[in-house]
Amino acid sequence: MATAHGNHNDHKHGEHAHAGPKLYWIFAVILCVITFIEWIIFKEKEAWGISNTVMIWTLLALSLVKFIMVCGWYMHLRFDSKVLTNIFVFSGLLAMAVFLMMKLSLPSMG
Amino acid sequence: MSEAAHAHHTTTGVENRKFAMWVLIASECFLFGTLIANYLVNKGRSISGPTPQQIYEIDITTLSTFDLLMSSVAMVLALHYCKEKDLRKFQFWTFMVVLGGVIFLGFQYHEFSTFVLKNGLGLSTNIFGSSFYLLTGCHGAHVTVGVLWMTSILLTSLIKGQEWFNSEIVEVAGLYWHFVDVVWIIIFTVVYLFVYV
Amino acid sequence: MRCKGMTLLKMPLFVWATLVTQVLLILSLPVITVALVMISFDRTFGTGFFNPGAGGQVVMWQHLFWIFGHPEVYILILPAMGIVSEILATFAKKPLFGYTVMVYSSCAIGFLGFAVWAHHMFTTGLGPWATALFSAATMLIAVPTGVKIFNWISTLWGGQIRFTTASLYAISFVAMFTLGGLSGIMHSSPVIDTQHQASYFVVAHFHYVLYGGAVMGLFGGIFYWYPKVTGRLMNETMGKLQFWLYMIGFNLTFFPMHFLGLDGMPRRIYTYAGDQNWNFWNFLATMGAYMTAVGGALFFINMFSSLKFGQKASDDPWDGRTLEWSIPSPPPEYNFAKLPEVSHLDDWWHKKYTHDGKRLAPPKQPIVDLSSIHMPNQSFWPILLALGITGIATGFVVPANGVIIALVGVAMTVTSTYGWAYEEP
Repeated sequence: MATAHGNHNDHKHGEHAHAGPKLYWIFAVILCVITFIEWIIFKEKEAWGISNTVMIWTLLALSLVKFIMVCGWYMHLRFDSKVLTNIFVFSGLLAMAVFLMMKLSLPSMG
Repeated sequence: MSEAAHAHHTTTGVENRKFAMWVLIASECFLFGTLIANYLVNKGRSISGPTPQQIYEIDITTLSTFDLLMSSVAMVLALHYCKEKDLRKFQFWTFMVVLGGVIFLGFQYHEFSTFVLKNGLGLSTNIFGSSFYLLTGCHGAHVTVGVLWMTSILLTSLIKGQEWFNSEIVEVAGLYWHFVDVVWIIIFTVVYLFVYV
Repeated sequence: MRCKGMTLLKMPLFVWATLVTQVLLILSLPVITVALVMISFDRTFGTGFFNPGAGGQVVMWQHLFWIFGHPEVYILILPAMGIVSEILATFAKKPLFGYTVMVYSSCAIGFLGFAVWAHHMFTTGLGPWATALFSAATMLIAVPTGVKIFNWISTLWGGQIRFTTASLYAISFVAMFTLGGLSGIMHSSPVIDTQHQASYFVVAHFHYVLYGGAVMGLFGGIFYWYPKVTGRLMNETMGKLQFWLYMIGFNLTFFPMHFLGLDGMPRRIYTYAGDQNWNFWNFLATMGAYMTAVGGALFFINMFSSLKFGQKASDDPWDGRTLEWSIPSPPPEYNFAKLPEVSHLDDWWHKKYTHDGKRLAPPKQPIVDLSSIHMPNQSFWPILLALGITGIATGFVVPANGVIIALVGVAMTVTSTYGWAYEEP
């Protein structure tokens, strides 16, 4: 048990080295920059001649990056038990699959 | 290895309250999934106006998104200083979380009142409006609960002072807060930025 | 809390079934929550989510309802499957056949349960792709279910079966559930389903699954665990009488509905013209319903009278296999005076018998200083919290002044949440 505890503490120290206030602030800046880029893309879509498809996938990719940053570091899934990541990823993907299927099954209109 | 060290406390190897919060988040995936899917299905099915294209104020919504992201930073710093047992900084950043949440609710109040008073979009005006208010209203309710929760933590800390550093409680509240933030990241893109799609 | 050695693949199957059920509940209830809020908004605040006149769609309700509703079907049947697995193993004096496969089947059923909801909606016109996909997924979910049925049969095969009321119910569960399952596979074909939609055939199908299946399983469970819960056995003679009333009455009621449905009798009607040759089968169904009603009355008489007059039960009246039979009946409030250590599946059986079935000296109750057992303080906040949530829900249902009731509910919910959170441990 003692060795397990020792390792546990080491792990905790590692966590602090990876994710301290400095990193949180760097991430905050990145999150803001991404949001700013999203906003610019939205604003300048016509001027830059971006097609709808490109815009949709770019914005989705950008928000996915934000999503992963918040979940992985701010919610420290990266440093926590894999059980938690599995719970979240499983339910999130299942919800997406279910509602995508529902949307596709509904008669399209409008 | 770290899991083994926890294991003699709980059967999942994770602190029970934290585990419970992630299970709640799993459940919330389906809650917001339903609401977002409902919005996407119905946003173009209105029989009369106003339409999203006419009324969304993307600039202001971008500002409120910044605000919510910043409150997430404050949250993660509050947890950090709670673990470091730095009372002043912990209380300061907890206050910033509450402030960020309240400002976000202010933005939402502004948005809703503009929509209702200026654009004439009530809850039952058209089906776009109904779906929009249901989705963003539900998110706003989650932010409100988060604000209440963080205020309670702040007050408890102010009353009990140096002896109350319960990082487990703060961590669980933080998970909730970040999840509400993550939902907004999705709503901002899928609801607001995809308005012309 | 799992005791030492209780790894996931040593958990009793009932516990596994409950675990999968909980996952299904957590993931499917939010969907019906939103749907119910939407329909409440439609009724109370004049929104039009499900009103075609306002741009909404009725089909949307069907989708949201069945995205919840199909997992809900498994929420009903999985615990019954778990109970039956326990009972059959106990009364066949054999370990459950294919335990590990049973566990994986439960998980597969739980997962696939989210992928088949639209088979309730084939006639709404889903389009060819969705129809094909949901049809295939529905056929697929029959595989783990079929695996379970064969495992139950194999559990009974060559066992020393004791026909108590509990085991009669469990065995009839397997038979009745198989019948319901077979007509279920028929419905996975959209072509046949279109013919059966909203007819009495569907009524027959789901009653075989949920009444012949789930309810029979639950009755079995009550007879099985009653002595553990109360310390007294239920009356077996009355129990067997009730079982046969149920079994015959149930089949008399619901089997004719197959014929009626195929003959075109629609469901959700209260009367029909008398010259359509439906009268005889409907008469049989009514008589069957009376029989089950008598059986139901007998059950309640049995359950309440056995509380007082039932034969005293020993700690282990059925020669059980799982840990609950190692503690006194009824269990003390601390359950286990000393936490057991588990080394086998069906660990209690292995403490009583050697590997080749010779009886060992009965294990003694551990002697423990009772004052050393610390029980957590009881709290009244959780029940108040539940009442508050009930108030909110009631508020949505009541017309006119419902909002006031809902607000009182909200106030109570918030108060008791704080009361609970700040309670001294």
